[in-house]
Amino acid sequence: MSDVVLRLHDVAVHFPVVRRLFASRIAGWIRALDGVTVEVQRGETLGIVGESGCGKTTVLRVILRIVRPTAGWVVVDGQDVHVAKGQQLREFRRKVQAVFQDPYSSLNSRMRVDRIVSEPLEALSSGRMVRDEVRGQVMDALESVGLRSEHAELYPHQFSGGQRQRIAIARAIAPRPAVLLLDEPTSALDVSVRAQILNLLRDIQRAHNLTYVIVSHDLGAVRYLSTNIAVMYLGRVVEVGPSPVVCSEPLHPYTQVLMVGSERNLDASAEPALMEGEVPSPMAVPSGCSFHTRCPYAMPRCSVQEPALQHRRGREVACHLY
Amino acid sequence: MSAQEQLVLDVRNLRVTISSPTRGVVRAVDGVSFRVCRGETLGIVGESASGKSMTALGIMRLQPPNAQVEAEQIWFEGQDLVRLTQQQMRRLRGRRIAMIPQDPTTSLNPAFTMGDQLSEPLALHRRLRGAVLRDEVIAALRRVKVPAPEHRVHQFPHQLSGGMRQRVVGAIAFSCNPVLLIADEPTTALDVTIQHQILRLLKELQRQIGVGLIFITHDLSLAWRMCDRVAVMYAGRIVETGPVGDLFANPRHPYTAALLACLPTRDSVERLGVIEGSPPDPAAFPSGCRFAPRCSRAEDACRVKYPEETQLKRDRSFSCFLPMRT
Repeated sequence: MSDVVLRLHDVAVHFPVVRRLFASRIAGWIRALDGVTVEVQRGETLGIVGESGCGKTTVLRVILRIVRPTAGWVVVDGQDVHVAKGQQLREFRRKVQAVFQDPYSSLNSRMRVDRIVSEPLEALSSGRMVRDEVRGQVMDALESVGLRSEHAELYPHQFSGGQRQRIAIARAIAPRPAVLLLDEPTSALDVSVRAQILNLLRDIQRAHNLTYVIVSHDLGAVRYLSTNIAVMYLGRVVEVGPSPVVCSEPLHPYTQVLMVGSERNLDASAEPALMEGEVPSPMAVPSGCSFHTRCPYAMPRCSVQEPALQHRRGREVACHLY
Repeated sequence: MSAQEQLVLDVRNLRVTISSPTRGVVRAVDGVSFRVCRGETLGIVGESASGKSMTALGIMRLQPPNAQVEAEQIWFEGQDLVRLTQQQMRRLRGRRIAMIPQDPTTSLNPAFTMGDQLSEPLALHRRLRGAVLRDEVIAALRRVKVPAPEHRVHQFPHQLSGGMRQRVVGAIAFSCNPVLLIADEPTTALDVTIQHQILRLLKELQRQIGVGLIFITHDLSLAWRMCDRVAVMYAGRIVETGPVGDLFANPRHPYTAALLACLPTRDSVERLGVIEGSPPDPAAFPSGCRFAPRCSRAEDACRVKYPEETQLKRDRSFSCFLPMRT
């Protein structure tokens, strides 16, 4: 019953830091991603959480072919996306769509809604689609995000933030993709509107059997949508497993800190050991476990030996404590 | 809040109106009253454009030039802030009333070192000079737990991380031992782990000097963690207020209840609660209760007249004709 739609296998992305004066030379490397292996089953959701600079957005960029991996491969429906060409590449472009954080900058303010939603359709169908067919798909997409047909003739500035995000979602689902990448889809929205969008995303997923990858620092949103959660720190996955398991009993000390404050019924006594310091620079990743500089439970071994992901209590965790 | 506790701020019927050439008269804050005591944290929660930030600016009299602040009174330490001149206000700001704005990248001046920016309130309000001033600046940085403060004073904002910058902003705010501190979304621009650090620091400093804190946030779980009392704002008015535990456990206003239902819980498998529609345009509020168009309980009466405030007990009130039952 295993039906893996998307798989990242041992993906690494290292960006060179180039100093230019008279001759360019590489001054160092930024470790954006390192040894990331995750997979998502059809119709399920993978949530990726972590602080800024942990590489969560780079994961989406690697899947979208915006960034080439330094090592490893990305497979969508059995096809390595970074070697795809021609028709396969076109098919990949249709299959994987994205919704971005800020619906104010992700929609072209000079285009009408129907054009915003139909543009990817026309671009991806290589001109074989009849105008009525396009119109039909646009209307279907608008309807499934809860917009009415008269909205098609308006411009983005005539909509509120929540409605704009609905338009962005309509644009993403119009080409009937298999995978939807959601980059902080609710971060720019108010609480009450956020709930509307989260419900909508869940409904659409069920109706179209879509696979989601959601990246967010909003743990509430991620937890609500995700089947599995991957916690990232400095380009590595430190804990990954079924969402209820990871959320109710986080094992990695970093996950434990992240989970605080993400739920409605906060227990004031449940504050974890305060994490000192800040995320180290990805140009100078600490030796051993990259979290050891901030970890309240760090042992001598942590600064020397890098922990590998191990199966523990129903999830994978990379920590010497377990 | 017991009777012997010392009142710091008593705002009655605060209004901030903005006259905009394109949108007409915008009633950003429309009759807001609350009190803050020494050592107490009052949370003001609400969605964007509910008027929470404008309330803060109104108290500080730092409203934008096209806005007007009116109030029955803004009582603060025996003075009425609405009746003070801007010059008198300047003597209070940064000394008796301090503020921590949302984004430390924009609230610090990129052209001056941390030391310069921290010295300003100390030199201006406490008349410190020379070596004493330098020592005090370093002590202030040490108080907010900035590592290597002797070195940091010579650095510019861009050389510091977001969390460090917000610590420096905190150091500036606490430098003259204020009695009232207004923190407007102080951690929204920061990462979660840094957020924990800053909030804990804020609580610690508050305990040390007993400052009354107004904590403005859109994040209900933060309000729950930080505040003693909470006022919920909607469309320029406070719709419900009360001690944080009671307000979150037994919300009486349908808006508060709906906001709480919007939050995903530990294991929400069911659909999230939803407030249909979006908040009203502050340039054209509906008649009657402003939440009525989005309220599932609204009846005809709600659309005619704005509901009076119902006082349940001291510090616990709401404005609704058809409140939720407890």
